[in-house]
Amino acid sequence: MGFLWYLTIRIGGALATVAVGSFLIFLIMKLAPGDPALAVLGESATPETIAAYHKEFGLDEPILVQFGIWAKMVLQGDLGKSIALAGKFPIKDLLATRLPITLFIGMYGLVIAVVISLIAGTAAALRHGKLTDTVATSIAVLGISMPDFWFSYVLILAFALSLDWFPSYGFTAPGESWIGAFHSGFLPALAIAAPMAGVFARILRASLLETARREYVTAARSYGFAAPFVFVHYVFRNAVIPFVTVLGLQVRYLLGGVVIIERVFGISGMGSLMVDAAFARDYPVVQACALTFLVGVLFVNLLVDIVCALLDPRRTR
Amino acid sequence: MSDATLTVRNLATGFKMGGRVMNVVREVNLEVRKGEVLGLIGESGSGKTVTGMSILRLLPDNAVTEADTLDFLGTDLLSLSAERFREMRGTRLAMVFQDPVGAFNPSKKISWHLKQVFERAGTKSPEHAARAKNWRQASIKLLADVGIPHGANVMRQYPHQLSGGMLQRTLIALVLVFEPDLIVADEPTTNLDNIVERQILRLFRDLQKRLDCGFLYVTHDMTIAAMLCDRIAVMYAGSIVEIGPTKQIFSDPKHPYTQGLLASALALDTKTERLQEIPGELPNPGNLPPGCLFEPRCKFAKAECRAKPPAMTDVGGGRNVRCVLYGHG
Ligand SMILES: Nc1ncnc2c1ncn2[C@@H]1O[C@H](COP(=O)(O)OP(=O)(O)OP(=O)(O)O)[C@@H](O)[C@H]1O
Ligand code: SF4
Ligand SMILES: [Mg+2]
Repeated sequence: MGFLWYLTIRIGGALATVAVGSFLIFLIMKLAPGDPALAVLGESATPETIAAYHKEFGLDEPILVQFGIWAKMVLQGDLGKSIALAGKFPIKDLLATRLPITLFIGMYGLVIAVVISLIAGTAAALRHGKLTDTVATSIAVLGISMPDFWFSYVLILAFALSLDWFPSYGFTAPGESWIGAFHSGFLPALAIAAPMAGVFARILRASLLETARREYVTAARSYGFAAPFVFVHYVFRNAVIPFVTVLGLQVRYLLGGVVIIERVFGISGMGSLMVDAAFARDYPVVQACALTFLVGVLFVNLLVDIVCALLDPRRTR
Repeated sequence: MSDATLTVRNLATGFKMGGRVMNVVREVNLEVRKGEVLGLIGESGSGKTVTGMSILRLLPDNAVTEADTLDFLGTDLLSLSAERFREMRGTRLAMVFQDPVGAFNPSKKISWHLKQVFERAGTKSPEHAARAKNWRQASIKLLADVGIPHGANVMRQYPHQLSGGMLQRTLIALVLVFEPDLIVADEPTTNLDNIVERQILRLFRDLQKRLDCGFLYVTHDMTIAAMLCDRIAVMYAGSIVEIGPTKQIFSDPKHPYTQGLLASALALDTKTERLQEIPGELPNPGNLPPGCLFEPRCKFAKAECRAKPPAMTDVGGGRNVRCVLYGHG
């Protein structure tokens, strides 16, 4: 199986998942109580205007046809209009301001988690059974078991309120100032990163230790290669594959974290948009947010699969 | 002996397990001479791998190795620092592994492995350094030498794309790169099918003649030992119980364990399978019998066998046996 063939199959699979996933999202929103016509037209709507609305948006058609109409609109970039929030804005414009903020915080957190876990996981594995290992592993367990909202409050108390190094609330969008974004985004990103860093570090540590026991590592030593060379090209190079795989799987939890952290730090990103919309029963917005999250997760998973395939020749060649 | 490549005196290796050391190999005395194949034979778990890996210092960190002598061509291996020992590997000491598939870095192509070993061997001598510069041509030639005519193609492959036999040939080519003085091979044909096994054994024989090096060949297969080895050391429960020239061991096995091994090997040949298998099991390394380690399974066991471990006795003809039937040493 060639690499291009593998790529085609994975992209096809991802697209199919988007199709099925978006249909489910659509279906759930359909099952939600209340007539969208009423929601849009208001309580004063007459039966005639309601019927006209139903006809215009195809609400009398079979469910699959309705899905087709909706999917076609989405593909053309029309996500519909908000019915409660933000004065009936086009949802597209809402997302255009919110999505970059969440992407920034999420990426920032992911990068922090990867950097921390690479250092901590490698240090723990290299110093296996020694004090460094025990300390790093205990911190990792702490990072995993701390509830993220609680850790957020600890960070705010320590670094924003007491030390005043970072703002405790709000976020400067990268569009305004990159430095401001990195500065004001640091605590939220760190709060998102903590549990992920713990999981990643433990996976990397376990994977490094497991790989170090492989016969090819002994073989490498038998050729008299220097220890750093063996570590980099034999141990780390092969141990990083499961690490990247787990990283991809964790991205979905990243989303859950984003929703909570955006609320705690008062950041108007996708997470708070979705929560606000849900409370306001603004179904089209919830739908659009869910769809965005779905595409985001699948995109990252696809990316991770491709990286893994490049790293691990056994998968594709 | 002046022509000894490797001299091992009183080697003992154990593993640290929860605060105490569990001894798995003890009182190992052997000598691998230049241009000779010494077979190390014994059933699974008897400590053959641990012995070979102890000599090359390739065991994990929890292993503890001690010896009175560990001499390699005049160099005292025991006193070498880790860094000086590393310099011996990949230039003068080599190991060939049991599982050729597992001995390659799965993320790297065959060409990468050859290149690295050539570069490593380049530190050995100016000729090796010169060959390392032209490693591609040199690799293709070496691969042809080990029976891989289309070396350029093989070099483009990843390890998982090649058969076990191909990989074992390539592994041998890697050893040929630096032309070691001592090779330790640990059951290098166990994972191969019969036909390929024969081919690889022949290759080993040629290789060893060509390099004129010392060769310690670990196996549990008497037939292979008979084909390949000049002398044989029989290992039981971490100790060598009999050592001597292959011909004599086969024509006149002395130790009851050697007799049992031979009988079961012959039984396999004549299809009366397993009838002659030695009854019983290896003793647990944590709970060894006080006297002769083979005593619980021995037909000839008597009271004095239980009293204390028998010593190695020279029975003449370059043969030593560890059994009270042949004296007390
Ligand atoms: N890393 C280790 N830690 C603890 N015990 C070990 C280790 N490696 C080997 N042993 C023990 O040492 C003993 C001898 O094992 P060894 O692998 O040398 O046997 P062997 O003769 O090579 O057997 P086989 O024919 O199955 O390869 C066994 O009891 C084994 O459990
Ligand atoms: S010493 Fe005794 S028990 Fe051991 S092999 Fe010889 S006869 Fe058997
Ligand atoms: Mg073994």
